[in-house]
This record gives sequence, C-alpha cells and structure tokens, in this order.
Amino acid sequence: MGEAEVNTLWQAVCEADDQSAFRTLFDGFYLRLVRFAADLAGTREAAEEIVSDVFVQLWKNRRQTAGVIRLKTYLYTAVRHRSYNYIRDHQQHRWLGLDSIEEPAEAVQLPSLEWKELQQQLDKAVDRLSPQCRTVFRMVREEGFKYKEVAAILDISPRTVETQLVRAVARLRETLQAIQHPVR
Amino acid sequence: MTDEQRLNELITARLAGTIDADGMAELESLLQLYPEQRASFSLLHQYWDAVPVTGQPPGDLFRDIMAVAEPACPSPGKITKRGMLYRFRWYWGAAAVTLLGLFFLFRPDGSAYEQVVRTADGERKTFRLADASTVHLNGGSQLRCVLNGSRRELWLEGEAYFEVAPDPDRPFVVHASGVNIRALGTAFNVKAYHGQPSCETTLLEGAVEVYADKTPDSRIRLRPYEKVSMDGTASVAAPVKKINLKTIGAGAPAALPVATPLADSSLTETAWVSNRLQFDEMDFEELARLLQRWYGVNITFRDEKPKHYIFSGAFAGETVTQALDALQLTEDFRYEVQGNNITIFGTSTKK
Repeated sequence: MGEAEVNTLWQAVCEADDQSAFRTLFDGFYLRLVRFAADLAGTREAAEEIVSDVFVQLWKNRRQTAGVIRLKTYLYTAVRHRSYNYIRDHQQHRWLGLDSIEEPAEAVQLPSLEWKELQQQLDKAVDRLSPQCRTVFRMVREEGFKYKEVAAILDISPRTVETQLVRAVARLRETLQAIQHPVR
Repeated sequence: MTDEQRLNELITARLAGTIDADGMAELESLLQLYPEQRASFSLLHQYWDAVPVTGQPPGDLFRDIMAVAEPACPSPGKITKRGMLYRFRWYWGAAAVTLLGLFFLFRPDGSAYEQVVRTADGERKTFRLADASTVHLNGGSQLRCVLNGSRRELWLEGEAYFEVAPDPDRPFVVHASGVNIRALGTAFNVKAYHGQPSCETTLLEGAVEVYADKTPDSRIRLRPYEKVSMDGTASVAAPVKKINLKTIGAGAPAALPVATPLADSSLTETAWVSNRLQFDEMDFEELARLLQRWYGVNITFRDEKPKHYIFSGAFAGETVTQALDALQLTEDFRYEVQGNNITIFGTSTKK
C-alpha cells in the first residue's frame, strides 16, 4: 500500500466514518504490525492483543487524530508504546540491543544452495540478530522506513539506527560467506 | 577502518537507498578490489528486494475489532474482550494447520528447489545461479530454474544470455518453445519470445546441441559464432539452417581468455547484454516490438505504411523519444507520446 493510498483511506475514515476504508487499512497493516510488536513484546499472543487495541483506539479517536498524523508512523509508534507498557506491566526482563546474546552464525555445509534455501538461511540469520538490530533491519527493508523515521518510532538516535543496520548487513554477509565457502 | 567494515557501510547504504554517487563509485572500486565479494553482494541485494508478502488477517477479526471499537454496531450478542482474543487465537491455529498442510503438499521431494526470475518490459537483470553460472535476462522474459545434484534445467520464455559454469556431471539444458539447448561450459544466447515463430540460439563459446522436443534424435551441434533458428512447435520439423555470424581464424577461440564475459557487444544477437539495443535490417513493426520490451512502452501504428520501413542501427543510452527521433532521420514518419503509449503514423495522413 503506497503512502498516497494510505492517506486517501485514512481521510475517508476521518471524514466519512468509512468502515470499509478502515478495513482496508486494517488488512494491510495488521499482520505487519503484529510481527513488529512480537519483536518488541516477545510473544505472538501479546502482539495480537496490542495491535488489536491500537486499531480499536484508532477508530475511537479518529475525529481527534484526523489529518494531523502520518498514519503509518503513528501506528508503529503506538504499537511500540503499548509493547513497552506491556513489558513493564508483565515485569519481563528483556535484553534489548545487547549483542552478546547473538549466536554465532552456523557454518553451513552445503556445496550447492538453491535460492529458496539461501533465503531460508538468511531469514534464520535475521532471526538470530539482537532484537533491536532485527527490528531496525525489518523496518528499513520490509516497511521502507527512513533512518529518521525508525529513530523517531523507536526513540533512538538515527546514528544508532544506521549502526544497527550495518551490523545486520555484516552478519548477513558472514552468513553468505559461510554458505559459499563452507568450512570442510 | 578496514575495507571490510567500509564494504559493510557502503552495502548498507546501497540497500537502504541512502548512498550517493561518490559512495556508489567507492563501492564499485572496492568490489573490483575484492571480486569474490561481488557474488555475495548481489545475492544480498536479491534477498533485500525479495520482501515476503504478508497476507491478510482472518476476516472475522475485523468484525471483532469493530464490535469493541463501535459498540453500537449491530453484533450477535455482546462479545467480551477475552472472548474475542480467544476466538482469534483459534483462527490462527486453524490457519497454521492449513499452511502446514500446504507446505507438505507442495514441497518438492528431494532437494530440487525451483527459482523463477521475471523481468518486466524495459527491465534487464543479471544474476548468478547456485552453480556459479551467470544469466542475463532481457526485458519481458521469464526463466524458471531447477538445479540439483544431478541436473541443471531451465525453462525460458523471452531472451537470455547464459555463461555456463563447467560441470561435466550436470548437463545444463535450456528449454524454450519446444526447443532444447544442451550445453557444457559454454556462453550462448537464446531468444524465444512468446509469439515469435522460432527459437534462436546463438553460440559464443564452447559447444551446444540444439534439438526440438519432437525430434530428439536429430540434433544440431553449433560451433562458436554460429546461430540457428528452430521452430519447435511446428508439426513437421522445418529444415534448419545454421548461420555463420563471423568467420573465425583457426586457433582464435583458444586465444580468448576463458574467464572474461563473452557476450560480444559487436554482435547484434548479444549486444543487449552490454546494454546496447542493436538491430539489423529489421522492419519497423518488429523493431517496435523490440522497443516496447526495451523501454517498457506501448507502441501502436495508426497507418500501414511505416510498419514496412526497414532500419539498421544501435542505441545505447538514448531515451525512447531520442531513439524515435534518430529513426526519423532516415524514414518519414511521425509519432505522438501519451504517457506510456506511443502512436506512430505516416506523414501523409497528418495535415
């Protein structure tokens, strides 16, 4: 969904209480936001609850928020706030942004790897990144957010966003090299 | 900072789209310094672009959300929040089971994985297969690749240039419009667009065997710089003639450095690999089809006459209008551009 389309739909929601436009927005964002929330809050169940709540509030507050927000950034920011509240309320200890928990990339011993397998290996490597590193990587790659937007949503500095992304790329390159030149 | 760290920074900037011209130049020179990094960079780039498509949530979920957000909405009874969460967790379970089922049904047995690469009109892609063969795919084409331990098989619709990595145990076979091209450590071009009467194979290096589905026993062996057009779909195999594109002196092929990319840009058949659109005594109707694929535009003729003009020439960096302007220098026609659509008409019909 392009930004212009999102704006048009959101306008229809605010000005005409258009439920079908709201539904299109919901369908387009729900699963992506659940994935984002799961990264932050730790569990899929919590993530679903968080994102559902955000949409409930979004509909209820559509009059107040009309026109003043960039919807996509708003949604991600709202999900982040709720995810952090969730962690606080559930007293979970999570190690955000600590690289020490990253497991080393496995030396994969496959002489000839097909694209699908390669993709799966890289997906796994992304899963092994530290939570903050992974979140930044996905937001830039899959959601097309700019460094500044990611920084604003996650409340970190743009410099940190860049550092984390470079770190992710370095890991993926290591993974690729391990695949292409397996250790015998 | 080490070159390795710098490469990480530059590749990141390239992927995220924050790189500038200086950065691009620096990246390119580093890749030239470390050519072994180029393959993994291009794989990473492919991975970055291949963003998984996220599906849609189950339909009832939205109703449940609206029931909470807009309690005035007519809803079957009152749904509590707990109940709602319980319900959609059930849907997720069901969805997961369905997906798992599909996964096992469609997962090919063994390790034969399939890769499909497509190009739109006006788009050209170069990529490396898992066996280290390189493929250049011209616009409006589709290539399906199946590579495993015992075979390398590809199905082409459109045009592609192959630089095949030698592997005597795994023959490299390209299938295109009922014609099969079998190669071992070879560079060759195959052109077989939908709607084209025959499949054209041009060999640059090594050796290939070409044969139709219907006549697998009558094989044609090509030598470097030979080209063959074969209609694999005709009910009766038409007589096939080899065309010699360029005479080569004895010993010349041996003198060619094997590792260099062999797409010969002076050759009409493979000029596209070097981003040159080249055509030789081609009528305008066919050239228009070529321009459509090259530039990703639609070209229609309002009059019959210009269709039969014959052109020879080459374009490299020109835009489509610059190309048409150049063609106007040799023949009399006019054109109108409306967005992505170009109409060509003879001069006599326009006042």
